[in-house]
Amino acid sequence: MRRNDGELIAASIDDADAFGELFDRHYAIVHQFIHRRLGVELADELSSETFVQAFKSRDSYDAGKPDAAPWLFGIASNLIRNHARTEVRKLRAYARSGVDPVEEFAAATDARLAAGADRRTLVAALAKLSKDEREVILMFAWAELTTAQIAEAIGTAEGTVRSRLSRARKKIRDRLEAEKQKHARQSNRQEVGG
Amino acid sequence: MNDMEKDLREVRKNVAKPDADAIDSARRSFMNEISGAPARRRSRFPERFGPRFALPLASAVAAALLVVLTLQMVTGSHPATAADIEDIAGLAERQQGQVEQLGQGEYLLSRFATVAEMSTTYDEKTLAALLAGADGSDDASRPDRVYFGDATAEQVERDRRAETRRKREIESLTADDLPAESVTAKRKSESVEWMDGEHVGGESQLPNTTVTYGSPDQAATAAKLRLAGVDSGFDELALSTVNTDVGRFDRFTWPSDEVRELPADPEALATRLRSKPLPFPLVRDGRSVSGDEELFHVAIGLLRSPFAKPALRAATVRMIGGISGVKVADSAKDAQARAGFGVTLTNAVPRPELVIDKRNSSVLGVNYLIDRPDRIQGANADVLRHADKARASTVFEPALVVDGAPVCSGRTASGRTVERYCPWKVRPVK
Repeated sequence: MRRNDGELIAASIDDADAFGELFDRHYAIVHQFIHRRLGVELADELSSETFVQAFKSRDSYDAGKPDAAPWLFGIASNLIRNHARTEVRKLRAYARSGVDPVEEFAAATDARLAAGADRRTLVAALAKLSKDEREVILMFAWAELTTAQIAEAIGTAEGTVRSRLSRARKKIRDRLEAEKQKHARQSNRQEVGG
Repeated sequence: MNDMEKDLREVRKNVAKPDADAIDSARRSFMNEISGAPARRRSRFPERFGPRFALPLASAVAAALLVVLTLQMVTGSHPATAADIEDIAGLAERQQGQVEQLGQGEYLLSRFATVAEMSTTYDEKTLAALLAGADGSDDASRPDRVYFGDATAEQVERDRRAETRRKREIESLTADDLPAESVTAKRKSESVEWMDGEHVGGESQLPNTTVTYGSPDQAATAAKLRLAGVDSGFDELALSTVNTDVGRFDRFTWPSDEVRELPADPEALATRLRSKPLPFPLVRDGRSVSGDEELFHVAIGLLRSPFAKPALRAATVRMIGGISGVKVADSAKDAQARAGFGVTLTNAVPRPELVIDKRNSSVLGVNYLIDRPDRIQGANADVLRHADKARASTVFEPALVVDGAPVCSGRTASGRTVERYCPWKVRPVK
């Protein structure tokens, strides 16, 4: 019978091999999440570190919880925080040039299409968020966790997660809106002038 | 889901998943690493994990801990501290819980400011070290860049010019270009936390963060360094390294149900808190902080919790007194120069110093002191290591009672819905 994550972790207290199964279940998604945020080299390093830390603190895991994903994303996210400057630098480079340094090593050779203006504004807005806001909105949008799972992952109240999320959304929307109005003003002027 | 969120989900959606070979090799080294791990202590959640030895074992551990703590008190390894700790605990015992004072529909509001200060001398040596460490690879001009989509020719040209300029700056920057010998900067941001009697609330940064430099020359130097891809060290990220990650656990929004069931006895409390750690290991700059450091920060959160009853607050103070390396100073100051008892954990880097009000035992602020910048480790620490002086502090203002939720939605002139702070009607908490 397939054991759930909680049962696997409980079993791994005495039998380290049980943790290998947890690794098989979650490694790829944790890796992909870190890759999206920091690039592939750091993803290799930090996803391994995530599982090592998870293993070390496995006896603090509440075995009643059948899904370990929030816990693992919480550990990963904590490691990502230490590389916030790298993350912001890469986002800024993407926003500035339209070419994403993070997708550099993707297999596709589709001439690395530069992103459009909207995407660049969106990425610039992501770079502007605080560490806490970016953490929450990317766990929501990229890791596809619920607010309750995010609260569990980062060890805070769900209310706090919700308020950070709404603040992050607002900041991004404001930025997109401001950019749109700037363009609208420019094209109006052209129409009047031309 | 709205358009913005759909777009956000699309960003970097196509980054490759690791292939089977990569996963396989990562798994092998992971299993290697953990198979050599020493045997773990027994489960600390006996009722969940269920082994029948766990409970006796936990009691034995608790008893041993109690002996150690008692010995410490009896042998008086911190004689000055013990008396001071009793003074503070006595104060804590007399302070009423704040949440009891809340009426229907009212919220508790706590405003706090985080202040980070740094001062760095940019001599030839420091500059060389910083330049060598600066990762400019993302930003350097790349000939293979392809511009498509709706980027206009002017935009492309503007970007090219900016990059060329930037590249030249990096190549040509020397210590001679930096007129200010030493740069001092101070960053201040303010936030509010709020919650109702059932612990529904949140935390927001107020939109008034400021960075101030010692002089206009220093500001120019910082801007030059930033432009050249050398982080000036005064941006949010480097400064917040000093305290943000530990600061996440001294917040007042500790879950009420957890606070309410904590034992009001120092030894039992320590045992409970040590055995029920945070949801993930507290890590700062890639290193796990010690159990003692974790306990110290968790204790600050407890002292701030409006749900902590007087007996629990007193037990928390006595528990802090039992942490090895804790020293009490009769007088310490927070970043607003308010004086109180200073309770510090001497062996932690950065060294936290808790400033406690001598009138009522409330937490005035926490200073994070970097006595040895060269000992700071980690990804964001490169700049801090070169600092002559660096410190960060959080200062808390006394909690207030707010009539209604502090955040409400409003409309702008153009009809958009926005979240803003409601006009607060506040009264002080006794």
